[in-house]
Amino acid sequence: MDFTQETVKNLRAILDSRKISAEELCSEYLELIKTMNPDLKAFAGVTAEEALSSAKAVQSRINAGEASALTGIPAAVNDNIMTEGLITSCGSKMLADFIPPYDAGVIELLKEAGYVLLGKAAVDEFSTSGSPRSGAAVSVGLAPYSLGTDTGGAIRRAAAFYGLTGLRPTYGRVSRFGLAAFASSLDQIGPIAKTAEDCAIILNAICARDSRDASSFGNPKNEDFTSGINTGVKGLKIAVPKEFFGDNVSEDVKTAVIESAKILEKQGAELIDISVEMTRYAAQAFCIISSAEASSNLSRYDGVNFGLRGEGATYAEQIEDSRNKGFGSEVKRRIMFGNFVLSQGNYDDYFQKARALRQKIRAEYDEIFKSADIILTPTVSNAYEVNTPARRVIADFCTASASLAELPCVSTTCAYKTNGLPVGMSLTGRKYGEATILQAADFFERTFNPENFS
Amino acid sequence: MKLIPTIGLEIHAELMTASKVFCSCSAEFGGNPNTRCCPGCSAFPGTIPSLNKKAVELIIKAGAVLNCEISRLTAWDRKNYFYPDLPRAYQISQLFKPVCTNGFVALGEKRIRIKQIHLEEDAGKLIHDQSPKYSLADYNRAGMCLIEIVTEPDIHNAEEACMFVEKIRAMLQYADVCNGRMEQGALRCDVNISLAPEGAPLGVRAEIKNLNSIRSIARAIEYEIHRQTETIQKGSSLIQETRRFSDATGETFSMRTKENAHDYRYFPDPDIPPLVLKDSELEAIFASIPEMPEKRYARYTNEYGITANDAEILTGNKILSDFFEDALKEYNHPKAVCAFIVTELLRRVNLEEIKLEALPFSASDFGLLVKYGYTDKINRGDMKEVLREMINSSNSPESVCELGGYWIKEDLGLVESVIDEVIKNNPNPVAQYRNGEQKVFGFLMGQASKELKGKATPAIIKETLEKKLKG
Repeated sequence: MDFTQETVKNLRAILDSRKISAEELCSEYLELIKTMNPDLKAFAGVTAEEALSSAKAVQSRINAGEASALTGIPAAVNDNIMTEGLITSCGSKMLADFIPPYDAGVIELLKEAGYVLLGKAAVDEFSTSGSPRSGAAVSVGLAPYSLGTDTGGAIRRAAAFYGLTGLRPTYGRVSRFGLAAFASSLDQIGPIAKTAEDCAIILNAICARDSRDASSFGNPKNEDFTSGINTGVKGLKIAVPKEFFGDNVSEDVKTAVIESAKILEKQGAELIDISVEMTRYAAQAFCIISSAEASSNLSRYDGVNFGLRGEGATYAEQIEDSRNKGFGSEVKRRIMFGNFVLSQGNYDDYFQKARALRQKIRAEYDEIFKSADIILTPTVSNAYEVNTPARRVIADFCTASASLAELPCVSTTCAYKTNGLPVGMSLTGRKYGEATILQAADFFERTFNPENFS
Repeated sequence: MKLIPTIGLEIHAELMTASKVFCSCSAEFGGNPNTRCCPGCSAFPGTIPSLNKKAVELIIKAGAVLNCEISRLTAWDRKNYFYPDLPRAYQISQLFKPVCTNGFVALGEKRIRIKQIHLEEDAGKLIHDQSPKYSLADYNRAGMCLIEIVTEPDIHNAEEACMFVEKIRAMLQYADVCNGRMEQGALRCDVNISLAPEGAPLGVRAEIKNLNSIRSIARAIEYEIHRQTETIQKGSSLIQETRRFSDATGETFSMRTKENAHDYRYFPDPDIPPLVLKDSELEAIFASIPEMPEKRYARYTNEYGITANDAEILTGNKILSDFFEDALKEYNHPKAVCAFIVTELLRRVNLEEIKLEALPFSASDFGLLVKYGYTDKINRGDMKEVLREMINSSNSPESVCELGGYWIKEDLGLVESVIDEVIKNNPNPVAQYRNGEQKVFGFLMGQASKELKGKATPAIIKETLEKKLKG
């Protein structure tokens, strides 16, 4: 039997009914990884031995009926999340052989839950742009879910590109301790899975306050994020902002998202037409703030304490060589841009303005959420069809607003294009309103029939 | 043309916290290289600084004793620059919203204004003398809690600068904010100095970095005044630059000029949320500030009757003042304890036989010794000798007196026979006393004491004499 295409929720039932042991399940995934990963390169490193031994170790918990939601269920974890004793390279030559002596906060929680780590999912260098291969891993069944990282939309775009569901939690919901920082005020860890329900199950496991991350909020009310699962959308007010349906989104995507909105309306949700003007500048503001923070966060990679060390007669020459050899061109571009916007004479013109825009976007969203529960938008703009650095800035347009506003946002598949590629729609919620957006996404997924769009 | 020097200071003071400012490593001075650092203060990926609340408490105390306004909203900024002693390649500091602003310190009638005090982290140490090929880095100091006190340019000569630093140092010590040990780098000073004719706008300034003794502050300022005066009088122009001072030669040397100045690309640190301070929290911190030297001075002169001069000496140094207070707990006789500190203890310190920071005896043992002398357990004249032996042997005053035979032996038989003799030899005064002339008692007491000196306490002599006279 092949269980590799199952959801997390189903795997729980399957393991608890002992149709298969945790170790056997783990082997199934490892077999598939062995076959597919050499071409797919979804994993940067596979931890087969560790996976099998931890699967074996948690079996007694399952047998005793003491399994929690993720006990014995395999997972992939982005390679910019620290795993004790296992290479965590962040997709960078700089950290090609870096073995952290500590686990990230989320990894500690998953270990307590008895998860089984299959390996580290490959990331773009320091997760700079948005095509994390953890999405690929989940979509073909190399892992039932993956922990991704989202600065400007990577989790949500991965979901959109691969026909999955990806949740960026509210900033502070999930501890950033152990996530190699790219842009500290924007980075969040979240799940990429097959369904909104799985995302809710995983968020339940990874959401906890962590004193090692001062921005950590956790789950003080001990909320169950699955509480809205399978409860419908009746009475939910869904706002549709016109700025997200302009020229920068392709026609088929616009149509698919509008059609989906109508489906939700038919199920009992109320649609509201709104405008969020400042989101027009969200991608630019995001680019300035994230690059500024990244330029500073990535400065520690100077080859002195750890990481790749270059050559040179002086300290200046040595770090120049270390950073020149250690970083790829996209990271270098971000660092240069970040330094530019923070430098004397530019700070007020760029960085301060971007911060002011961020405040305005937040204020606009706050206003909208006085009368709406959810904001519905496409996940991906058409800019991804044109791959130049300047276009890549605009490409974050659909996802950057929620990041800047520190709001939770889930992307789920709402249609398939004629060429078979999935179309993602994003549901943004109130601060700490994960349960509501997951409720709506879950209900949409239950009623969604891709054949309607063929 | 008379040139007036204008000086502003930046004083870095290390806070007396148990742990570092953004991680839980020990903040103790020294230690074997790289034994007091962790992934956090070594800037490993994924680690996030988290603020030590004790450090905030201490900077608020510093601000309070230096008459500053304390901001209710305070935040941290990153100062970005590459240097191998700075693991994150940025220093967490405060540029935009420092904790303390607008303070002052009074030097007699004059006020030196304090522009701001902010909290930041210290850097590690580089060791260059182990090899010609490489330098070594020790990160034990990286991340230690530091406050930077920035003055307005209100100082005009070396003497004033030194007095100011001495005063800041004493006040920080009193407030339990900084131990003030300049020789360990716990207090360091940068001097900004420029010269200009009286009434003219400020001249081009030089910044002299990292002076770590009062003496080098004075020497560096004197040298700069000399150098800048010469340059101006030669008709050459000065350049804005950073200089370092050499203790060996007493000169300053250019490190970098304004053209090569760093662009630190300051921006608000996204890892550390701004801190909102509530009035109730501030009040609790203010209430915990120990007594300052002015208050102690008033108490010593008014309540204890100590002379102004002695009170000045005692309060000029917190360690000494604390020692005095602790000694009083053993023997509450302020004048006696003060006298013995000023005459004897400080003499030993000045002769460099002992160090105030590391005395070989406790304040209570010192108080006990004074008590022995003033309650006639030993002769007062022997107190000095006992103290010297306490220094040499590290023994308690009790065992020194025992071993050295300093106890006054009370031979009651001898006392009685001496007093009998005195009564016999002075029939007239004895008769006068017995007739009610109390004042002759002093004479008879004197006669007896002369014979019994060092062999009996005045109390015993007095008691025996009274008994015998009443007969």
